[in-house]
Amino acid sequence: MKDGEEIVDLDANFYRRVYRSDKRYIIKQTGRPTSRAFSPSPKDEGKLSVDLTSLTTPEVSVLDDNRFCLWEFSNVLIRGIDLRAIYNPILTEEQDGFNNPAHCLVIGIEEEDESKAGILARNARRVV
Amino acid sequence: MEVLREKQEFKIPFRDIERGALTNDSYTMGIEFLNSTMVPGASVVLGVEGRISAKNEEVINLIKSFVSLNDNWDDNNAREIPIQTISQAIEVVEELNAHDIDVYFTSPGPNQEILLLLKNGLNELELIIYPDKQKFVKFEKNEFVEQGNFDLEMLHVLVALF
Repeated sequence: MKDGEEIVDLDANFYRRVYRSDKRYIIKQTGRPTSRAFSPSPKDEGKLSVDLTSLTTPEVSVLDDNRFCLWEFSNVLIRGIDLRAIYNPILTEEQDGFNNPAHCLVIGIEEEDESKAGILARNARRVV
Repeated sequence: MEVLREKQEFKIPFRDIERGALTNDSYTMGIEFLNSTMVPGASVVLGVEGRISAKNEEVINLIKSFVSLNDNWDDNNAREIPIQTISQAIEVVEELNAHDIDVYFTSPGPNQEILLLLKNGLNELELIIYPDKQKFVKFEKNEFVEQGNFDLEMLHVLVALF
């Protein structure tokens, strides 16, 4: 798979790492993530950082399960809401020194569209 | 809370549904009317108008704690939340409280925003307060329904339909 290539495999799934310390992104009553956990971070410029599950493992993707939890959603879901995932491997030194060959970006999230983050949060399944 | 058992008269103010505000008109009824006609054996419990519910007070205290979040508070470059945004979010909670709405949960976001989550059975309403805008997103049975901008003036209409 080439850098920048769109993930078209409908059987593909993605991991989203969610910060869980102090439970700020996790609804304490239900244990589910808020939509804020699926909102692109400032450095990602409107794109959502995820890992392709077929190229990693939950243990690697979660980085540190004391600080993060891991949620999974499907390529079918994101394509169903007019988003796309592109392959975006990260080499060492680019992201806190972590080599991440599974890294992808979900693109197509418009700045004024808050619905996508909420849809992903409500349909993700917890893995770690 | 003390329960009134003796004969009393109450002046019940009218509320303008569209504006969500109390009017100058009122209706006077006696407790014997309430007990015998509406709910036999019922008691009338008085509350203090403007009092923040316990749940909303907890939410407001949590929002105030967001002032301690520094840049990168989520280990993924989340930005700190301006004090003005924190004040705006508290204002929204107070307005919701005035309409007897409890906030279910609040969460900071990575882009200086504060999320207020309202829940009514299987329906959820997200109110997202940014430094420069306020957005709402409505879900019914986990399905996205509608989104848009809101301000304090239209908030009571928004939650009335929720």
